[in-house]
Amino acid sequence: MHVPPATWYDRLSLAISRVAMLLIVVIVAVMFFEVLMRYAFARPTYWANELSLWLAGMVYLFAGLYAMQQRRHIRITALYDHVPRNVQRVFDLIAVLCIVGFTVGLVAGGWQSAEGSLMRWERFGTAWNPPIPATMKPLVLLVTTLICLQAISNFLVDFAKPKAPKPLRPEAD
Amino acid sequence: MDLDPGTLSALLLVGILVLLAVGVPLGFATAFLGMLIAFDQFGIRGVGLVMQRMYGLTTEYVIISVPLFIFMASLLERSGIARDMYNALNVWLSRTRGGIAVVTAVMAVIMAAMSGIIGGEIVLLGLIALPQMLRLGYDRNLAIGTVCAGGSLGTMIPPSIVLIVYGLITETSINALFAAAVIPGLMLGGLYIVYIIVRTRLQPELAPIDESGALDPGFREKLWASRGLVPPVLLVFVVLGSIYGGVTGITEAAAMGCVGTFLLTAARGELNLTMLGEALEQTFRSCGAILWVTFGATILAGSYTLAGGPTYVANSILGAEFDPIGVILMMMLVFILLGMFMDWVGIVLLAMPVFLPIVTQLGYDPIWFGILFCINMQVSFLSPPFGPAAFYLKSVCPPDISLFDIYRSFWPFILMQLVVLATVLFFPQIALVLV
Repeated sequence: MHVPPATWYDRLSLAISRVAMLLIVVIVAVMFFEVLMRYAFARPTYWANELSLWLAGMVYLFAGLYAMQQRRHIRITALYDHVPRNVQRVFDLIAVLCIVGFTVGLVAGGWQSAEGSLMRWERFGTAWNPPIPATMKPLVLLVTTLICLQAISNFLVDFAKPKAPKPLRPEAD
Repeated sequence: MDLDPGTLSALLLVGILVLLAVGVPLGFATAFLGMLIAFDQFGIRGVGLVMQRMYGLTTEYVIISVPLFIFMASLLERSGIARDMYNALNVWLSRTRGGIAVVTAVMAVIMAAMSGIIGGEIVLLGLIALPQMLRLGYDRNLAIGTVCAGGSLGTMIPPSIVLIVYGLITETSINALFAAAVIPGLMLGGLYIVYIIVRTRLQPELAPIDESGALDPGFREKLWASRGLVPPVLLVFVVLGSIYGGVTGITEAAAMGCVGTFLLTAARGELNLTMLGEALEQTFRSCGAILWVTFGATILAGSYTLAGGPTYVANSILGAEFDPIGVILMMMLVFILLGMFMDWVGIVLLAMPVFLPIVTQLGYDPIWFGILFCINMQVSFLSPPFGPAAFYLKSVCPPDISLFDIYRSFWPFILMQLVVLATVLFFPQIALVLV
């Protein structure tokens, strides 16, 4: 089920993903703690909701990197599967160009706002007041860039292959 | 350039079709096109909004339930809880005509009330119930159809991540959607069971009764075997009880479900680092795939809305003064056609921003429309050539059963889904009475 690393970049992506996926367990624990405190001890926390929100944001973003390394992003392969390999290579190129175009636009357009939030250390404006905007806005740009680099790496690895890597079985969704 | 909404809509449609056809991942195709629209309409400042939309999505509290429900299902998939439930139901029903198929359908309904996704459920039923039915000489089509149609109920009976994402995108109450899905979901499950019973009564050769000579266990033994039903019912109680009992919201209920599954698997001695690691990897992969389609479609929907696209399309359709119910029927047809080629996440995110304003302006209830959409997606899970239910089952069924065999067994079930769809369409009260 698991796509093994082919390059040093794959190994980097996998290392980051392994750490990030543990956050899911942390979120479960935080929420359980909150429910326990609220109902068993009638002492709701003021930080659990925002902490879960913060961690979950990271999970969504980094999960995209893992899905890219594992070639698991949802795509339609009805036509792709039935064209010659060289046409597939052109198709792959179009896909990479879309991702690169999106990433360049996102970073160019969002840089100012992300940098501003980071420099001002913008907070969430609540009782606990975590720096969610200050960290998450730059993280959106950073992780999208990492995903884009992973897409380029995948493209270079797959380009040389005589056959396109078969999509694995679909999973839970 | 600042294109007018008409030209923009046409170009967008062509752009989407071309990019999807060449196999660009859905999330990035939509994100890229959304970016182009934003740039066309508002220049570099418009592109700045794209990051804001992504950031906005990362701070939506209810989305946290998506990874959590997937995590819960991934844990359950690796546990023997489902197998014990199968045995518990089996001691009571295996000696009746078509009994194991009925057990499969009942099990599917219970599992659907624990989890909000379909993949794990079909895989489990395919591993546990299918071999038993085939061993006894059940008709293949009946067996396969029951496993896949039953397993698909995971996103129909609450909790359901299809309804969570629908509620998020259309800003309708997810609690209300969950309540509205109960009767239609049970109707589907009930119809499958009635179909199995009637069909096997009429054609007993489709479902031979186990005559291996094993004695019918006594009532006491049966009651003792029924303990296998306790953990699943407990989990249903934890998840749905938390939501409907008003103890927690949907997100925390998902977390409670994870904790419950965690404790049960630990008590059964199934929890170890390998199992946990695999469950986390699977969760993370699926989560990345679903969330990035959500990112992309939110970006596209946001830019398209700012450019006036949905209003334009809505006005053209409303201006043409079609019969309102005709418009709804057209939309159902579009869902079914899209469902043949596209994943539900893509459909909900791409079609709803355009369809929902029309639905509400025609005076229909968005909750009811969400349920119709959800039933439509039941059809899409089974419909060839890309119905995911078939792929899930293919990954675990005996190799001599081909994808073609699997799809061939679906048609009676698709027919039943269409019957329920039509019933809820013409009698909205079926869905709305519990809201």
